[in-house]
Amino acid sequence: MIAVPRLRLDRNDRRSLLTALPFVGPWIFGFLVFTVYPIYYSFTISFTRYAGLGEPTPIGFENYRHL
Amino acid sequence: MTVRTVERPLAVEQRPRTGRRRQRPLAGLFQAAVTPRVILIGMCVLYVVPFYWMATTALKDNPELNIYPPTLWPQAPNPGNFVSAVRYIPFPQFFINSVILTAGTAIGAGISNPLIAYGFARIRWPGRDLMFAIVMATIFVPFPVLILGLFDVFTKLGWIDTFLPLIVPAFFGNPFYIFLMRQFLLQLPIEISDSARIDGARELQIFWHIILPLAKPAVAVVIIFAAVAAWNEFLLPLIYLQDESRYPLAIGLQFFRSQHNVQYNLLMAASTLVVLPVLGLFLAFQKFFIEGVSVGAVKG
Repeated sequence: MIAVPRLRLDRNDRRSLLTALPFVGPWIFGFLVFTVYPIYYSFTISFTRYAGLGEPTPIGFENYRHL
Repeated sequence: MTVRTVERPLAVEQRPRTGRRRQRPLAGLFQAAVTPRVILIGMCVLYVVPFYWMATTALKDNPELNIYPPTLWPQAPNPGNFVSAVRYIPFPQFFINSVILTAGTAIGAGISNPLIAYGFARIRWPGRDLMFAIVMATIFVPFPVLILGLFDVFTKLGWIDTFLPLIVPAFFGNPFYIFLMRQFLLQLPIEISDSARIDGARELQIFWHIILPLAKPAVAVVIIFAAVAAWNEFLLPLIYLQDESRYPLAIGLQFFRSQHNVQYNLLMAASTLVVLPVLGLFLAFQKFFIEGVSVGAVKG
C-alpha cells in the first residue's frame, strides 16, 4: 500500500512518511493481521473441502457450484 | 468624546418571526416548550421501562414471576435474590475477568487510537487519504466474515483460551474510534503544531505535550466507548475462551438460562449487578461524555 506512491518520492515526501509511520504503523500492522489475512484465509479456504479438522483438500470451484 | 452609534442592519428574518409570534403566541410557546419535552419524556420512558422491569423482576419471588398480569411492584421484595444470583454463578471470578478485559481494552484503545488518528489528521504524507479511505472501508467489513480467519491467526499465535485475542487487537486501533479522533483533531488549528515545530519540537513531542492535552474529551469518549463495548462483549469471549473460569460476566449471565427453564429473577438480579458499573462509569464521566460525543459533530 505504501509502495503505490513510490514512483517519485522526493526527500520531503520520504521524510513525512517516516514521521507518519510511527503513528499509523500500528494500524497498518493490525489491518494486515486482523483484517486482510482473515479475508485472504476465508478466500483460500473457500476453494477447498475442509471439515475443521485435518488438512483442507483443494476442490476448485466445487463449493461455489454447490451454492 | 464621541458617542458611538451602533447602526446594526435590521435582521431581515427578525420581522416576520416576531410577527408570527405575536399572531399566535400560544402556538409558538407550545412548539418551543411543550413538544420537545413530550418527545424527550416519551423517549426517556422508553429507555427507563426495561431498567425498571429488570430491577423489579430482580426482587420478585418465584411464584410472583408467573402472575398474570405482571405486578408492577413486587408484592414482597426479596433482596435475597441478589445473594442467590451471585452464588449461582462464580460471580466474583467472572467480575474480575470482565474487569481485566475491560481495562485492557480501554488502555489499548486509549493509546492506539489517538496516535493513529494523529497520523491521519496532523501529518501530511503521500498516500494518506487513500489509506484513510481504507480505514473507513474496514468499518463496513462484517465481523462474521473475519471470525474464521481471526481464529486461525490466534491459533497460530497460541492465544486461544487466553485473554490476549480480546485485548491485543485494541492496541492496533479501531476504525470507528480512529475516525472519531481524527475528526476532533482536524478541528484544532494547525498553527499550534506549526509554532511548536518552529520551536524545534519533534512530532511525538507535539502529540504528547500539545495535541493530547487538547484532545482529552475525545480521548475520554474513545476510552469510555471501548470500555463499555468490552464490558458488554459477548461473541468474542465466547469464541476465544474455552475454560469456564475465564468467562466474563456477559457470558456468565447465560448460565441462568438452562434448556427448559430461565430463572428470570436471578437473571435480572445478576443483570442489574452487571449494569451498575457501566451506569456508574457513565455518571462519573457524564459531563465529559456528553461534551465529547458532540465534539466530532462540528468539523472546523
